[in-house]
Parts: sequence; C-alpha cells; structure tokens
Amino acid sequence: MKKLLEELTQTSGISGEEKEIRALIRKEIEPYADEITVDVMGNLIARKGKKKVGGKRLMISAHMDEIGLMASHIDERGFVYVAAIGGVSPLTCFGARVRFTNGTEGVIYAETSKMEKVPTIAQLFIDVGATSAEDCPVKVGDTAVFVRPFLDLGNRMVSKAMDDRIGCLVAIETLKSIKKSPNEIYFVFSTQEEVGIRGARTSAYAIDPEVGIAVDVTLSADTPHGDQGNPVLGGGPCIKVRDGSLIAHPKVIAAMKKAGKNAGVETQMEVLRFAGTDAGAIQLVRSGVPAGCLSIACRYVHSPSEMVDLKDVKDAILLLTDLASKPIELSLDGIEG
Amino acid sequence: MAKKANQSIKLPLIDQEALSLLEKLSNAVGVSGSEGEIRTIIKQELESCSDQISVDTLGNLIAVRHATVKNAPRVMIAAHMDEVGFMLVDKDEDGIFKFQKVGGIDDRALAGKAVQVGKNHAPGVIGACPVHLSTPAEREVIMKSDSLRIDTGPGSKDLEVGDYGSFATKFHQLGSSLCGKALDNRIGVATLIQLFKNAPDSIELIAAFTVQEEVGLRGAETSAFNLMPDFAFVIDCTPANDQQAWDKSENTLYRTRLGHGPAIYTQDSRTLYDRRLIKFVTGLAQEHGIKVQLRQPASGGTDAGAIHLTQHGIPTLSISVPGRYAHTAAMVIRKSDWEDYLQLMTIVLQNINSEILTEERP
Amino acid sequence: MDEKQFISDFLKEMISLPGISGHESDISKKIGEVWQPLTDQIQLSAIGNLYGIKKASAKNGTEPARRVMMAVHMDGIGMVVERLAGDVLYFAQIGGFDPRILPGQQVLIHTETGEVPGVIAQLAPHLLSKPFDGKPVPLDQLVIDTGMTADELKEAVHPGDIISYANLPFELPGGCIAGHSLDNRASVAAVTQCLAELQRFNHSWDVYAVGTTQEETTFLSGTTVFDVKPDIAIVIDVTFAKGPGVDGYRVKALDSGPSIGFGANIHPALYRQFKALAEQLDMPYTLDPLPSMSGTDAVPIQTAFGGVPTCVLSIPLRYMHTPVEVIALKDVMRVGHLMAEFIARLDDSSLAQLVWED
Repeated sequence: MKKLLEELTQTSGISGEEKEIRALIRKEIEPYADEITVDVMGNLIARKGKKKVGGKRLMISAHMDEIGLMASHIDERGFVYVAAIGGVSPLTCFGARVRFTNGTEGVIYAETSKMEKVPTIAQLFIDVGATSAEDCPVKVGDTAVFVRPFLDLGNRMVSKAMDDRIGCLVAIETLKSIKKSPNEIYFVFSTQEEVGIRGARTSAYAIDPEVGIAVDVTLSADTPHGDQGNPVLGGGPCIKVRDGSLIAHPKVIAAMKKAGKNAGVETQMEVLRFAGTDAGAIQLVRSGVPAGCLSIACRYVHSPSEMVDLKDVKDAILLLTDLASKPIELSLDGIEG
Repeated sequence: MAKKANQSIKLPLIDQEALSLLEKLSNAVGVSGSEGEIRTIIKQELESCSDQISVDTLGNLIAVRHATVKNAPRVMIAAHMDEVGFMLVDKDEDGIFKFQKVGGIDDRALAGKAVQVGKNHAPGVIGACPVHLSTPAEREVIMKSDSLRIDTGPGSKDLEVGDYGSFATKFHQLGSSLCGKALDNRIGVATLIQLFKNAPDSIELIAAFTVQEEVGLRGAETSAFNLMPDFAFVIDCTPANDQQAWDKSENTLYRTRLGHGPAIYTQDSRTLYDRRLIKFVTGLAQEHGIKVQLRQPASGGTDAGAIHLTQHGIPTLSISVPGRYAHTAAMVIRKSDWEDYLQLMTIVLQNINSEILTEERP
Repeated sequence: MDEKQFISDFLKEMISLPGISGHESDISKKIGEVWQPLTDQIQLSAIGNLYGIKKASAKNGTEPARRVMMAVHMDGIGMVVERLAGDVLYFAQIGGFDPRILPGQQVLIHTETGEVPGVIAQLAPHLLSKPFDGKPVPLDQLVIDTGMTADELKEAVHPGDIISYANLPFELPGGCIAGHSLDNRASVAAVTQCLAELQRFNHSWDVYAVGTTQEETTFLSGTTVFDVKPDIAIVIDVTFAKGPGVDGYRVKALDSGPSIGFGANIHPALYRQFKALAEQLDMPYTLDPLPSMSGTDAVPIQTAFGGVPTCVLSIPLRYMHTPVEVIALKDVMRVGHLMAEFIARLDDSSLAQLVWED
C-alpha cells in the first residue's frame, strides 16, 4: 500500500491537467471495475456493481488533482513569474522546487532583501537556469507541480499531493476490497477540486447518485500550538459534520458512524469552520443528494510536505468498505409521504 | 509567418458598418437585469438571418443558424449584453437620487462623471464637493458611492426609484483605438452579430447574448443548461494593464496587451480552459498568420465559468478582446485587435469539428 | 378559531422549535403536520426539502395544470460543538451572525441521548489568546458551560452535536412577536396563511408550498426547481425593518406590508403584477430595490434547471439573526393574503404575460 501511495503522490496532476495521474489510477483499478469512463472535465469514473433490492446509487469521490503554479510571464532575463492554481501559500514556496509539464525543473524564490512581509505569489519567480526570455524553456500558460520525494516515517507518511492522493488510495483500496454489495457504486477520481470543486459537480450530475461521499484530507489540530482539539493524526478516520461548503446529511453521518462500529474502527468527529470538499458540489445537483465526507487528518496541508497516519488510512478503507457493501438508510425523520 | 497559400475564406475587416454597429451598441444602455435596449438592437440585426430567435425567462436572446450538413457540431458562442451601472434606490430632493452600483465599479471611477438614467436616458451628473470646500485630509479619502448622489437637475421628471443608469460617454475613435463606455462587452456583442451573419454552413451556430454576467454569470447558466452545445466559446473583453510601471520595472502583470491580438484564456478565477481547444485555436492562428496572445493566468472570469460546468460539462474556451479601463466611463480598445479577433473566430468557426474531442482531455 | 389566532399560535410554536441549517427534521415535521390538511399531498425530499402540494381546484385549458411554487426556507442559524475543553466546550457557527450577541445566551445542545441546556460565556481575560481589552471576544474563543463536570460532559456531549437557541417566543404590543428563527418562520406562516385562504378560493394552477433547506448556509434551494419544475416561483423571506440604529432606504417600517423586490434577480413582469395587485387590494406595501442579487433562495431558484420566472416578497423584521427578532403579525397575514389573491388570478394566459417588454 505504501508503494502505491508513493506512486500516487509522486505522479503529477495539477488541476486541469490530470492526464498522468488519471492513467496511473486507471491502470490500478482496471481489473476491479465493471466499467470505466472519462468525461468532459477529465473525471475518471469507475462503476462497480449494479443496483439491487435495498441498494442505492452511491458516489464515492476523491479528487486526483493537486495544487501548483502556472507561468504568467517570462521576464527579460528568463525568470518565470507565476499564478497559483489552487491554494498555494507563498510561505511554503521559498526554495521549493517545481517541475513543469514539459519536464523543466526550477527553484522558486523572491527578492527577500526587499521584502517587508510575506510576498504575494505574483512577487515570486522561478529560476529554471535560463538567461533570457528566448532561451527559457517555459512558456506562458505552462504549469508546474511541486517536487518533493515521498518520506516513509513508519506509521506516518509525508509527501507533496497527499491532498488528495491519500483519498484516491482509500477509494482504490475500497474498490478492490468490496466483495458483494446491493449498491451501484461509482468511484469518481475527480478533477479541479483545488480550484473550486468543479469535476465533482459535473460527474455527479451525470451519475445522478442517491448518496454522495467525498474522501479528502482535513486539517489536524495536534501540532505544537494547534488548538489541541479534533481531529488528531492517528485518532481514526474523521466523520465530517460541517465545513464551509457542507452541512453533512444527518443520515450519512449516522451511516458512517455505524460502518465505523461494524468495522471495529475508532472514528473522530470533524467540525471545520471553512474550506470545502467534493461533497459540497455533489449535494447540489439535480434534486439534491444526501452527502457527507470521510476525512483523513493531515498536517501541513497545501505544503509540499503533507503528513498522514497509516492507521487512519487503513481504518478509513475498512469503514468505507463496510459502508459501501451494505444498504444505506437515508430517510429523514418526519412526515410519511 | 506566411499566410496559407490557398486562402479560401474571405476574412472580414472592420469597416464603417461594423464601427457604426459598435457605436450604437456602446451608446445604448443595458445594465445587468435591464438589457432590453441591447436586445432590441440585436433583434433588428439578426431577425432576418436567424432560423430561430427567442428570449428566455431571464432575458437571454438566443439566435440559431442551422447547418446544412448532417451531424454538424452544435457550437454555442456567448457574449454578455449587460454592462455595469447604477440603480436609483432613494429620492433625496429636487431630482437628486441615492444610487447603488450594479456590478463591480471602483468607487474612484464615479465622481465628476456625466451619467444617463431611466428609459429616456435623462441626463445627470455625479458631482463632488468643490475642492475649495474640502480639506486636504478629506481629499485623502475615497469618495464612496454611498456618499455620492446622481443629480438629474431640479426640474427633472419621470424618474423613479428602480430606474437604471450608466455613464454617458459617447463612443468615438481615439487614435488607432476606439473609446466608449460598456465596450465590455458590446465589443463581444458586435463581434458575435458579425460572426452570426457570416456563419458557415458546416456548424449549428447558437448565439447566446446573455444577461447578468456582471452580477454573477447568471444568464450564461440558464442558456447553457437549455442549449447543451457540443462546444462553447465566450467572447468578452478583458483588462489590458500593459502600460509602463511607475518605477520603470518590467511589467509582469499586464494580463493582456493592446495590439497583440485576441487574448486566449488558460485560467481565470472560474475556469481552467480546455487545452484541446486552446491548442486548436492557437494552431489555426499560427497557420493563418493571425496574431494572438495568451491572457495571463489571473483573477477575473467570464460566462465560461458557468457554461463549462453545466450538466455533465461543456468543453469551453474564452477568447477576449483586450481593453483598458474596464468598468469605467471610458474604455479603450485597439481597432487592430478587434479585426484580428473577427478574423480568428471566422477561421475557428470554419474549422471546428467534433474530432477535437476524440482525444482525452489532458 | 380565527385565522389570525391560528397563524399566531403556529408561528409561536415554530419558533419554539430548533431547525438549524441541515438539521431541519423537527421543524419540517411540524410544518408538514400543519400543511397536511391544507394540501393534497406532503412530501419530503432526500435532502430535506418539504413539499405541500395543493392541486388546482378549478379546471382550465392547460393540462397538466401549471405550477406556482412558494418557496420559504425553514432553517435557522445556530451552532455546532467543535471540541470539549475540560468542563466547557467550544463551538462553531452555522449561518452568519454577529458574535457580540452571544455572551449570556441560553442554548440547547442536541445530543444523541437528548437535549443538554447550557449558557454561552465569555472567559476571563487571562484565559483568552490575548486579553481583548475593550474589544469583543471573537466567536472561536467563546465557550458553552453546561454546568456539568468534565467527566459528565464527555459522556453527554460530543463534537458535531448541534446547538440551538433555547429562548421561547413572546408577544409585544402592536401585534408583534419576538423570538429566534422568525427569519424565516414568519414567511412559513405567511405561506400557511395563503394555503388557508386558498381553501376558499378557486385556483386553476397547482400550488406547491415549499419549505427549503439550508438557505442560511449552502443554498440548496435550486434543487426544489428540479423536483417541482415550477412555471412561476415566489420566494418569501424577511427584510430589514426600521428600528434603533437602522434607518434609511434599505429598511422598511414594521407593519408597512409586503416589501416587493425588484432588480436583476426578479422577473420584471412579476414585480409589476404584484405591485398592481397590492394597489388593487388597497394593501400597504413597500418597494425593495435589489441592485444585484436578493440574498435569498431566489438566487439559486431563478437560474436552476434552465431558469424560472421568480419574484421576492419580504416581511419586515427587526434585529435579524439575533434570538430576539421582531415582526408584526399583520405583515405576515398581508403577505399570505397577497399571494392567495395572486394565485387565484392565475389562468391560462398568465404565463404568456411574463414577457420582456423591450
């Protein structure tokens, strides 16, 4: 599993250009899926099973895109100026290295001597070893992702793009481990989540699911001066209650809690004041879709060194496998039709 | 770059007729939510050459020209009709009104401008405190729209709360450029009218003149849902901040540059553009020797933001005419950019085909 | 019982219930019960939208009958437990409000095993990230004290539990009602009044009374258009009433009747029709200029599923998004009556009148 995670995180897939990562995931899931399609937005959609009595159309979405940079200008001396694709923090950019789609690598910096505060992305430049605009191998519109090797710390693992390749891993392993289910399950490896939850929206429209679950990372609170609350690394997979895009459907929360119990897995409840996941887009399509999110606690999110705990990941797979393998009860309390 | 030897397409030029149409469109008033005047002009222009023309519940004007071949691709081109402006929201006295901005206008662009309000374009002004009566400290503060008023004159009649208004600048030529209000996006409307009149038979062309772009891409959302084309192009006007910097340092944030041709989008706040379409369009431009530029990836957005996410998704590309001073009383665009634009899109429409999509999106 | 008493009692009952965004079961159940005898069918969608369907009571040429939808959001603002800290707990908000109103509020925490009462408290300066001398304590540093010990609290309350205001409604002179969640239960009451009046009217359009979910947070009401496919949508919400510290053209007086919205979010023909109807009925009304968007369910509804002719009627309300909102019951009744008169007039030709006059 670690080897697959290393491959997943080290493969490039900036929002909008997910070709490489899509090919890798496709190769990995092909033997296990009943049907695989790629849609207009580049979403990779794998169906498993057909809806049986008591079953539902279930969409499980993990986004395969990662944050990165896009060249906006090449100056006279060959320095590349950039715009952010997704939530890149300038703080994590100093000295970081990036690789453009055409293979060119470079280092990010800014004029620190003239800096009074943290620079904006527009003040950063990438040095690719060029000496003029003409000999610069990068052109305006070219994209780059961060370069940082996978780090195996035993129980903890670190890499760039852990957000959300860890979700992709959970989805892939869940797909592999489901033996029998009344549900028609659509595993969506979605695109363009980091720029505004876009791929999940169009794929959900096409799939028309009866229940939607995103698998994504969430911010952990257990760093030295964090607020020491939930969630923590190693505390188990997190059941999202709310974030900036979603009030999780009460019955989806209940189904996750139940699946956690069935699988003998410890879980944590997650209350996030901001941000969003694919679930926020899924819930909005057509008649509305009961939606929730299974999160993996992650440290240093959106830096090139995102850390997760192995046990959380394994337990998330157990929980999600149980959830997807059984009927899901969704009817809200109240009026009979 | 040499032009293609066997050039079968007659490329359009910006002639007096085109300029007159743009002038008419620029001088007309069509603030978001109240685009009737623009709709009327377009209807007059297109009624005789459309196979279908209709107005939907939001006020989008949709004109269709059928293809003469079977299985032709359905191509939607969207251009928003609306402009930023004002709404009168409260009556003070003697023809003076409180107003609110409709769409994004920098407060610093308001004071001291002539405006026009209401159905009959009644003249008015947004005044300012005389310099003699303000203190230096007061002049350090931005004059906010809340503190400004639209003055339509003591005897003004027939104006009421709810009336819309716009800047009153008249369209004119300025050097090798064109100047006027609302060129964002009447330049797109004028272009789409021309393209529609000369549409090739090989495609089903759906012209969507959309409403309410400036208040949230709302017309594009419903028109795309109802039309579900195979491709969508968005014609808009995008800022050119290409002048020299104060300290003469290299300008790295120009976004687009006047005189460098149509601006093809790669990324904005709302969309990551389909690279298959970018490749297709830039390839054609190169082949036909038409100048194009890539718009710098930056904030902002066009109707594409709503269109490309419609239903299961629509492959979409925005191409804009670069323009300076958008959302002010006086915009400036370069005539040559417009001509390059018309020529580029003429070629694009001649060549577009569904094979572009057989390749998986990168 | 007269209608006014019925509406007043129902409204007070509704604002005695929780119904926080995304957790509307209690309130939607109550509304469904009251709408049941007034409609032909009650349905609840998977995400919690409530539909009360009243079929056309008169025939005309259009088969199936056209549909008019009255959409009101049922949800209110509230809070959610974020984490426990010893014998108190920290919380996050659901929906937008000014945290300065919070210290001293009585709340109910809705746990798996029942309701736990508590009070919102502001800690002593030395317990905060900084003293905030002379400044309001931000929301993320306010706590709820349940009076339980740390062990009891750990047993009873968990992160993710929903929190609502505990205060009960009361009446003020002038036919006013005060309480939490009058935004937007006052509008639910108006729709109920409309349904009650429609029992006496003939109407040739099908009427869909719709309670929407999550207006205060994630705006899911576009989904109702997918379910109902209405030909006309009327969105009813509250607007700012004139009161202490609030004046100017943005606010309407209490008891000044429906406020009829206009602007890009509203179909101009519907605006004109409602205005003309109010005049015809001699009903007081105000105009509500909405230069860009309305900030109500009309925003997603207008553009959902290809677009719906949409309008907005508002009820003036003081102290919005506090637990002591105030409305005049008369305004509620007027909005209900105006809609009933509008719906009774809808016929075969009504849709053709919704044109753009260019």
